[in-house]
Amino acid sequence: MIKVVNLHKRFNSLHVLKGITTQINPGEVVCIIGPSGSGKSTFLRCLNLLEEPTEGEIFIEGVKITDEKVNINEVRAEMGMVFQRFNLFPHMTALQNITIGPVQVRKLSQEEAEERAYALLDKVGLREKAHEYPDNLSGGQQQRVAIARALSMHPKAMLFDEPTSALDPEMIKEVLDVMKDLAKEGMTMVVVSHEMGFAREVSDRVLFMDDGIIVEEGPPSQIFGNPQNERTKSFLSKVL
Amino acid sequence: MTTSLSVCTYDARAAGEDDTGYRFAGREKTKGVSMKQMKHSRTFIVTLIMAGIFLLAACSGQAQETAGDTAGTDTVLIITSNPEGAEVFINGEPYDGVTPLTIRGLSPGRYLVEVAKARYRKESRYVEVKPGENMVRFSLAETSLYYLWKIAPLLLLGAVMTLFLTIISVFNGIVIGTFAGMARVVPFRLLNVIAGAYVNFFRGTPLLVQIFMIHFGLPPVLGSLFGDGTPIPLNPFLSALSALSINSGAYVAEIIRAGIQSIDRGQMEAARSLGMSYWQAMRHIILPQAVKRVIPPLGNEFIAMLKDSSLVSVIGMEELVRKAQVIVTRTYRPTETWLGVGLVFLMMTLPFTKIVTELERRLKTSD
Repeated sequence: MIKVVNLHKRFNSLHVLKGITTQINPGEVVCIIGPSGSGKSTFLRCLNLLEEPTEGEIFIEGVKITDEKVNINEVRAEMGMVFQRFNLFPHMTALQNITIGPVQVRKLSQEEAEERAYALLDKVGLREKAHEYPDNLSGGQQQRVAIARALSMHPKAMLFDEPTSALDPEMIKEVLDVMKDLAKEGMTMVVVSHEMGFAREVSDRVLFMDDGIIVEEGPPSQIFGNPQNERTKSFLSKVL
Repeated sequence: MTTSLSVCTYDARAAGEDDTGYRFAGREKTKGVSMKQMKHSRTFIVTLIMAGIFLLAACSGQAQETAGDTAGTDTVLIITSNPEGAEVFINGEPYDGVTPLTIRGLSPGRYLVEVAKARYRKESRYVEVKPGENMVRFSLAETSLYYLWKIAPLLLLGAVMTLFLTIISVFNGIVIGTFAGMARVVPFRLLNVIAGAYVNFFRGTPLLVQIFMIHFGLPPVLGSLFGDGTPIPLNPFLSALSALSINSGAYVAEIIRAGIQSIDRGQMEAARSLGMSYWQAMRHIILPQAVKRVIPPLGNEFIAMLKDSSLVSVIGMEELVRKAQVIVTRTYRPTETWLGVGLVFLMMTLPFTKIVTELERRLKTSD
């Protein structure tokens, strides 16, 4: 479904991604772990071209999205993105946050979009907050609305960029529960996370990144139970 | 002292102010002259006595010159003032009647003449009263408060023009500035450069110079482009309005740019990741949020423009400052006039300052 070939990203003189090659299959849940500054987030952001790759190719369902002729907006509409800092639109209610994408991009009618939005709010357990503005929601609630917003576009894959890092500990669970449900439904997910428990429990595959490359990848049982690489071992010994 | 003194009542003063009072005083004046001539031909002795007094006066150095053929007659003191109807005080004592006033029979000598009228400044002068006709004219100045009251309608007329110029200019500025401000942030290099040059030029040069450039610099160019080469003069109103609008546009552009850039980058990213185009994200996500942040600084821009618009007085626009200049050349009273101008400006800026502060407070809580 997603195929990445020799991906490089440079910010001026800073070489952040140094040749990433991997593949993500439909329905797979992939967790990316690694120390800060290892390029996890940059890699994720490259997948929907929020960062423009310096070099290399990305294919989504066989379409080469790094090609200049590709309509970037269409690509992004197929990839839901959840941010560390939620990035809800503060001038819109929860409901409006969820309907704006379908109405503006998919050209759905307002009624249809709202119907779908209520269904999504049910899914994340926030129907009663439909008419609240983001400022009146807790961090966990905001992130759940953000997930609903990303789902509103019926994406083929969901990208999570450290979705629980900005949350108070007691709110992490409600967000992870939503993500688990999503994984059970067979959504293709790429998750950058420091939640090792989630990675171990939910993911099909774990990528360990360090210094701009994928150092080790494999099923969680292997990465967490029997890491092969020295850097993986030393990282896990610090976080577990 | 032969002067007949009496306590001057208000009614007497009021009578002198009306038309009848004035004409009556005039008649009395002519009558006085004929009587004087009669006495001149009739009584030689009186003349002699008067001459003697005059001589005495001359010796004591009080009188500078002899009054020629009127010498030896009765004294007549005519006190006029502009405006008329002022009370008269001779040597500090109120005199019955109001200006124009003819006082006869004063013994020659030096008198302190004072005139006073409500709402006008009291004037006083030493008058050397000689036999014959003595004339003293007073020009009364309004008190500061009354003067301000009198010029207030003119100043307010100027203020209306100032306000009108400012409102139109800032409105145009907002239209120009919104485009220029957005042109500075959109991902098109050429637009960035053009808008940047515009903003830098008009923020980096004095408004006065810009006014001159448009009003005096443009006509020759227009002449050679659209006419036969002779300069096409611009209407001062048109020049003033364009200079202020273009200048305001540059400042508004910076306000808009800052407003857009103050919105968290994550907002644009979230919108784009939903598949919105740059313009959709701008229109539905960035601009609605930027507008709120831009309103208070726009209010400040309005206040600044209200004050800066005074510069168009140099090309003859009859706004507040120009009106004041015209008034001063006529009245020679710069102190009160410019103080009045300051107060009128304050009357306009203070409410707006209050509104802006209130807006800032309210937008802060809802942000």
